[in-house]
Formats: sequence, structure tokens, C-alpha cells
Amino acid sequence: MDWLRSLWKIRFYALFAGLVYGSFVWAGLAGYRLLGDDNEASPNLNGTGRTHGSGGRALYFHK
Amino acid sequence: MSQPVQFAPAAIRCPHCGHEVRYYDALQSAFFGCPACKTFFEYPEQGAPKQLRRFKDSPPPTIPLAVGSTGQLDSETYRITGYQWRCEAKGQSYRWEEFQLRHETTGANRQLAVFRGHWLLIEPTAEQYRASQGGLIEAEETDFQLYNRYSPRVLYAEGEFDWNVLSDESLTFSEYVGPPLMLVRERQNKNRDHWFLARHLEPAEVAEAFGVPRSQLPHRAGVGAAQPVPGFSKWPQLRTLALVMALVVVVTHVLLMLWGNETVFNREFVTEPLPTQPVTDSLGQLVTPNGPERQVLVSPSFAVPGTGALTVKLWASVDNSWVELPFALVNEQTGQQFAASSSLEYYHGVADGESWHEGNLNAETLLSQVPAGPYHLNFYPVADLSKPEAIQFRATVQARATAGSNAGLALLLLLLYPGMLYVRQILHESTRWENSDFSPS
Repeated sequence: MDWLRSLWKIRFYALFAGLVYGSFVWAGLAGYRLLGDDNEASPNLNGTGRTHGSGGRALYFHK
Repeated sequence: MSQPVQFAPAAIRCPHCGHEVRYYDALQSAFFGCPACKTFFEYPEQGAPKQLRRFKDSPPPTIPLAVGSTGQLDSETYRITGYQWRCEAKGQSYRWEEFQLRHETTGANRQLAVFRGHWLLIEPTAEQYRASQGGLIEAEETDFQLYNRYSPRVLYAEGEFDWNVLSDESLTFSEYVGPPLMLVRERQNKNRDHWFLARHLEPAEVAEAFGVPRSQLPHRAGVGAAQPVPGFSKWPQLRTLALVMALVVVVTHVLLMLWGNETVFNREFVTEPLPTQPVTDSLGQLVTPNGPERQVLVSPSFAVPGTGALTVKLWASVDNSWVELPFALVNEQTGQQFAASSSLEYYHGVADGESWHEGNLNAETLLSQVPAGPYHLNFYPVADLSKPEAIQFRATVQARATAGSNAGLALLLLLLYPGMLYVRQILHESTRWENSDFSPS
């Protein structure tokens, strides 16, 4: 109990840690990568967001 | 709060210049320093006053706390009755000031010392301590490490004292630090030691206690012997909470991995080069392309059970070659597409008698927030044009994927502030011991 009371000294960090953890759990359950994902297509619902060979080094003559 | 300097109830005349030296403790005080002629003298109960020394040094131009003023320390009122300016016998550049404090009602004595702007409140203690050979004192609350050992020289003194401050020059003082506390041992010819317990005070505390502006106090330089590290008071809680939260993040990440990562698609494909056919260029002439193209591959349909992240893992059987696998994940109900591209390559050989290899046969892509529904994958393979051969590859799709980078980011954010504070504490400790001849490292 005393230890919990002593957390008052670090209330701002405790609040920040709670927010970080909450965001982490939400992102994990919602399938959201906080640092961005690998999707290269523009968000759309009509299926035209993708062009062939838009990424990587297509047709790059390797070695 | 402080009170203005009041006239002392009693006074004596300096035996050298006749200046009136006022004092507060008629019972105990027997030694006096005259501010007018810098003479230190004894005024015994009986007999004539004795001049003990005439100081050659002049005190600093501004003494931060006036003799005779009062202040509140630990909710008790103390009066400054004496002032000394001292240095180490073997290091005269190490100079500090000491203020003799007298409790207004009980008459108990304490001292305030300031060295390079770092304040210590010192009081005698009846406890006896024993230091190890390594200079360590193990006490109940904390350990104390030997920091400094010296004999003092009194450069100047004014006010009243109940002992001959000049006799301190024959003593050896040993300082043991356990910030924010310090133990000071006073020893003379290995007779019984006298111990003092000192506590670090912030300049703001001293300024508030004596009602003087902060700018009137000496500028603080470096790290004080007993100055606590940054975040000292909250560090135990901060460290514990940060480590607990980091552990909770790791455990949560493992649980999310166990809960998710369900394989919803796993199949092998073979991409073969299409027959090369001459084409007509803009001038109408037939030209042969640099290499063969490959057919677009479409996977069977599969279901994504719930909205979340998808991991698409690819493996290809390339050997001293490469293949690029751009792909599209297509929602068969809405037409929504997710696209990514993975490069797989693997090279190996022998050079100068040593085998080598580079590249990777596996690649992993994470797609965020993919809605539930039926999907298929379209692959648009591109491979080494100089090697028109069939390439086998495997695609595995896992639903409810967990992003390790989320856990990494959470850990980074949680540990950033405690980590920075920890580094500052290490630097602080390092700076503290730069002034000591007894650094433990």
C-alpha cells in the first residue's frame, strides 16, 4: 500500500506508462502496426490501388 | 522565515582594536573573532582576554548569510552565531565556509557548510561507526564510502564559539558519503572519534530558510560530495514501475502471439518463364526483349477470420539467383487490395579457399488492419533474366498477426525516460568522484 502511495511521486510517468501500454494492447488486438505496415497500395475499395511491380527492384539487372 | 539581524544581548571588547563584539550565548561562548581587526581571541571567565591569532586572509567580499540572522531549518529556529572560512592544510585551493548555528531555545549547535555552492547541514551524532579497510561504513539506511580526508586550516573567523576553532587544525577529518547524507569523523591522535552526520541541502532550501535571495548564495559548480543523483527521491519507484511495465509488455506480446498467428493459407507455387517472342518497336522493327517474362499467378481463395494484421511469409528455392515477388491481396467481396513486394535471393560460392554465402530465402510482410472476408493472392514474379528457369516458392498467410515492432516501440517508450535518468545518474556519480582521492572505481 505504501509502495502504491509512493507512486504519486511518479504519477506523470505512471500515466504515460499506462497510455503506452493501452496503446500497445489496442494495436495488438486491432491488428495495427504502430510503426506503419508494408502495404504499398493506396487505401480504396474498388480494387484499383495496385500496380504491377511498384515496389522492390523489378527488372533490376542483378549482378 | 528569517528575521532581521537583532542586536545581541551582550558584548565584549576586542583586546586588539577595542571593537565591540556582540554575542548571544553568555554561558557557552568563550572564543570570539573580531570582524574589524580579524583577531581571534579567548575571553575566559576569569582573567584577561587572550589574543590567539590575527588572521592574514580577508574573508570573501560577500558572506552569504549574516552573523546574527536567524532561519528556519526543520521547522526549528536557528541563529547564526559564528562564521569561519577554512581550507585544507594540503590543498589550500579547497576552501569552504562554515556557519555556526545555535538553536534559539535549546541552545543546541549545528553547522552549515558550503563548498562551491554545495550546502551541508551538519550536526553531532552520538553513534559510533566503524569503517572497513576499503573505507566503507555499513549503516542501517545506507552505506557510506570514504570520500575525503584532510586537516583544516582556519583562514578567518568571526562571531562567537564555544570551542577554540584553531584547535581543529590538529584534527584529521574523514568524510564518508552516502548521498544525500555524509558521515564526518573527527579524529585526534587515534583517541575517541567524534562523529557528525551531515545532510545535503539544496541552495533553494537555504535561501528560503534564511529569507535571502538565491542570487546571494554562492554559485553552484560541479557535483557536491553528498549531492544526490538526479531523480534520487523517485528512482526506486520509477525503476520498479518501468521494469514491471516492460515485463508486462513482453508477457502481453507473448499472449498475443499465442492468441493470434493462425495460419489461414499455405501453398506452394511454381513460376516458369514465358516463351520469348519478338516484339515491334516504335519504328516498326522487330526486336527481342532482354529476357523472358513470367506468368501472373493467382492463389485459391481463403478466408480471413477477423479484422486484424496479416503476415505473408514467402520462401523461394533460388540458388545463386534472385526472384522478386510483388503480390496483391484481394478482397473478393469488396475488391479492396493490399499490396507489397518481397525480394528473395541467395548466393554462395568459394573465394580464396573460403566458402561464402549471402542473401535470404525467406521474407515476411505484415499488412495492417485487414478486414475479415474471402481473399486471394495475385503474384507478379520477376526473376533473374539471365536464368530462365522454373522457380518454386511458398506463400503462408497468418491471420491476427502480432507486430514485434509494436512491443519494441512500447518498450522503447517505457524505458526511454528511466534510461536517460540512469545515464545522468552515472555521469553525476562520475563527476562527484572526480574531486575525491578515494574513488571506488
